[in-house]
Amino acid sequence: MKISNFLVHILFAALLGTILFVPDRVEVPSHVPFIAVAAAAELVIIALHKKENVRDIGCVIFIFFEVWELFTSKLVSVSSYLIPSPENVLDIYITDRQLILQNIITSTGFLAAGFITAVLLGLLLGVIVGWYKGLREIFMPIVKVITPIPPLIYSAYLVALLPSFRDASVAIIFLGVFWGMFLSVIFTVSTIDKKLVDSVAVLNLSQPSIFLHILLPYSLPSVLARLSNSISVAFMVLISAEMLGGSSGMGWYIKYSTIYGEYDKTISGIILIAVYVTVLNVLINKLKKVLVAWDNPEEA
Amino acid sequence: MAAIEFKNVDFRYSNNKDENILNNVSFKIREGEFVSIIGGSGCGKSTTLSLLSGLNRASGGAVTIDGKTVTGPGKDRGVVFQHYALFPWMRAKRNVEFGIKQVLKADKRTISEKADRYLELVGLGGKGDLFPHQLSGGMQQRVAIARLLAMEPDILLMDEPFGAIDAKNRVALQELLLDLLDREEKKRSVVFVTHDIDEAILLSDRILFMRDHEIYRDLKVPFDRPRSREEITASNEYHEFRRELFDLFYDNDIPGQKEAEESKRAKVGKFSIGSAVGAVG
Repeated sequence: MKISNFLVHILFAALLGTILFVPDRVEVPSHVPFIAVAAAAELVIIALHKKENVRDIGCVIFIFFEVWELFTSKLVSVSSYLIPSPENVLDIYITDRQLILQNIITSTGFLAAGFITAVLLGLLLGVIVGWYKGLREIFMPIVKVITPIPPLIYSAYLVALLPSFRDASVAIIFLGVFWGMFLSVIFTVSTIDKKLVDSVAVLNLSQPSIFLHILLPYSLPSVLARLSNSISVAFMVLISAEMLGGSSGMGWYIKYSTIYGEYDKTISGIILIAVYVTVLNVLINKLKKVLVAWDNPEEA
Repeated sequence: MAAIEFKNVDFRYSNNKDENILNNVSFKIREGEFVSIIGGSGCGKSTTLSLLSGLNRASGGAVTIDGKTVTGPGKDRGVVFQHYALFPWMRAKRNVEFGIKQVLKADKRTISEKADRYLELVGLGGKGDLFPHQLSGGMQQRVAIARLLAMEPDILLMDEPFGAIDAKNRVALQELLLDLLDREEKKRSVVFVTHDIDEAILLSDRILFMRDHEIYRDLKVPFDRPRSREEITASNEYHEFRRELFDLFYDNDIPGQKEAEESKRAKVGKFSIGSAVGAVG
């Protein structure tokens, strides 16, 4: 047995020892949430202990926690205003939970409306434009000009143009995701293998059947491959928009707390966004496995 | 009824009108006849099949089925290609069902039972839930054959369907096709494009040999049906007929190629089956 296999557990034990037995030199809220988070990380590591990289990642996390704890509550005599202790940051999730939840719901609503509309419309229109050469020749050059425009450029104008900030946010997310998706699907469908087209043609399918049973499933792997990137773009655009002119949402929460110097809230907001995007990406990967189970991984 | 006729058919691509891909091609195929088209690469055999399937239209002359000009794909014809024989996003059974649905308006249960029956027939009962990438190349072509037969077309069009399959599985698929067609009550006309001489002899009633975009020879296969590979390959007639086709392939061809093929044949042995003339095809 190599010591490196146990290192992560030794580091966890050391962290627990530090939290519980090294006296705090500044006043911090309850240690319980921080211990709970560290214990949850340890349990995940134990569950996935066969994966070496999980142990290595665990080591990095516990070292980071240790340093964070030591330099914000155990070794310093004055509470740092700019770098709050882990206890302070985690305490925000309890004391400010209602406001956080409300802002997450707001951001999720914006994101879902803009993102889902953009993906579905990009897929649908992309398939139609990609399939008909005449449409493709008209739209491809236009789309190629529009796609590289950074979506945030529209934000000030859209806030002025549209009746509410909600509409403007949804529109910005839509523009951030739609053009890339549309162009990608047009390209996928326009480069469809001639042999597949022949196989379809001899079955004498109707046009709706070709779109539904052939072109949509054919385009799905490339759409799903773009989805992780698209959701990151959408989230970045949304948070930026909320920070620029919103009155709710996670972007607004982080900006608001920073303005008032509540950096424990700022950091808790940033961590929450990281967790949120990670969860979304995990869900997208699950979706990929279900929707394109037919795609041969060796050919991908 | 499904009698096929090519009458003085020419074909040129619209973007290259100077080059004839088919040049004054004429032949007839009787109802229930199995005809293979063989020839070297670029001789026009796949184009002939594409005109018959309706994927392309003749530039001159007429392609008719039972006297009616072919203007596009139709339910009376079923096609199997070498590539994309199946849709990769549909499970094996769904591929068969999808084919059936295009020609038969029936409830889900009837279609499902029919798909199961045909999968069973090609030896893939119980494999219906697998995706094409989970099946070997030979199994995929079996599913394609099941779909083709389940659609019950009058005419089967097969464009090198076993071309990408290894020798052992190719033999098994040839025998399966032979067996299925012999067992069927309804005698279907089959047009089969291949560049494998042995495959053409085993399966066909007639062989059309194409060269330089024309039908160069129309040969009757001298064996009755039902036939078995063992019996026909043991006869002298088989080897004489094979030699005749072999000479057609290499007549006026690349110098040295014929000798190379003969030397390869000598090494493989007299009764080697499925020796595709890939060097030419």
